[in-house]
Amino acid sequence: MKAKEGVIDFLNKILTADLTSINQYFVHAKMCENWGYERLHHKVRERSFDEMKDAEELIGHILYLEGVPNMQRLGAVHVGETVSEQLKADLKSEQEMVRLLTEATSHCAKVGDYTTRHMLEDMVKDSDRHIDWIETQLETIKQVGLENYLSHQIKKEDG
Amino acid sequence: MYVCLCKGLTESDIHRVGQAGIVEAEKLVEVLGLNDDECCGRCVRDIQELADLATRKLALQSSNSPRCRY
Repeated sequence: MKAKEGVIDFLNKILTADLTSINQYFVHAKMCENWGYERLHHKVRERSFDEMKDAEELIGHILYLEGVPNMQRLGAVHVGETVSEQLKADLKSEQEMVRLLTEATSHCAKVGDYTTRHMLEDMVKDSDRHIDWIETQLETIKQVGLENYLSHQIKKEDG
Repeated sequence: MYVCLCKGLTESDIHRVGQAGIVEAEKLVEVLGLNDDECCGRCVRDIQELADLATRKLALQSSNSPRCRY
């Protein structure tokens, strides 16, 4: 099925942001694992996988619309040296993603592509959920202090 | 924050280089090897930010937070 004007461009822009986020969240997850923050490792890894599922859907949809998914382009991967820096960098990426998705959703409505619009709206919901989780972590850090927060992310010893 | 993943450079590395007197964009690229084959060149797009960081025009985001690694 042929895509309406500008839709493939938007989908590829979102794909680029998605592929960038997958890498950023995944390296943050592995750094948390390396530091022994087992709870954070699982949570951030899950977010990376959520982005991968979105990328899968985007690639399939671009092909369905007879476009070419651009797997080549990647944005800047912002890697934090500390947990706080990582959370702030990820929050910025998610906020940028919501901005991009909202812009694309409006465009789809304008050109009358309601299937793509519906798919993007579901992705905004996921990003909103991620933002809420990150904001909660940052607020908890503010309230209990970084050290207290981090001590609750540490892996429990067996036995 | 890491400023160049290819070279594993952090904001504090740039700050240290700045303290050694290397603050101009071209000099930073040369000294840190940001134009060699091992660097993808992505960081050079924001070279002015790095130059500002070297001159401490940008506050170090990580300077007040406890480090996990260092």
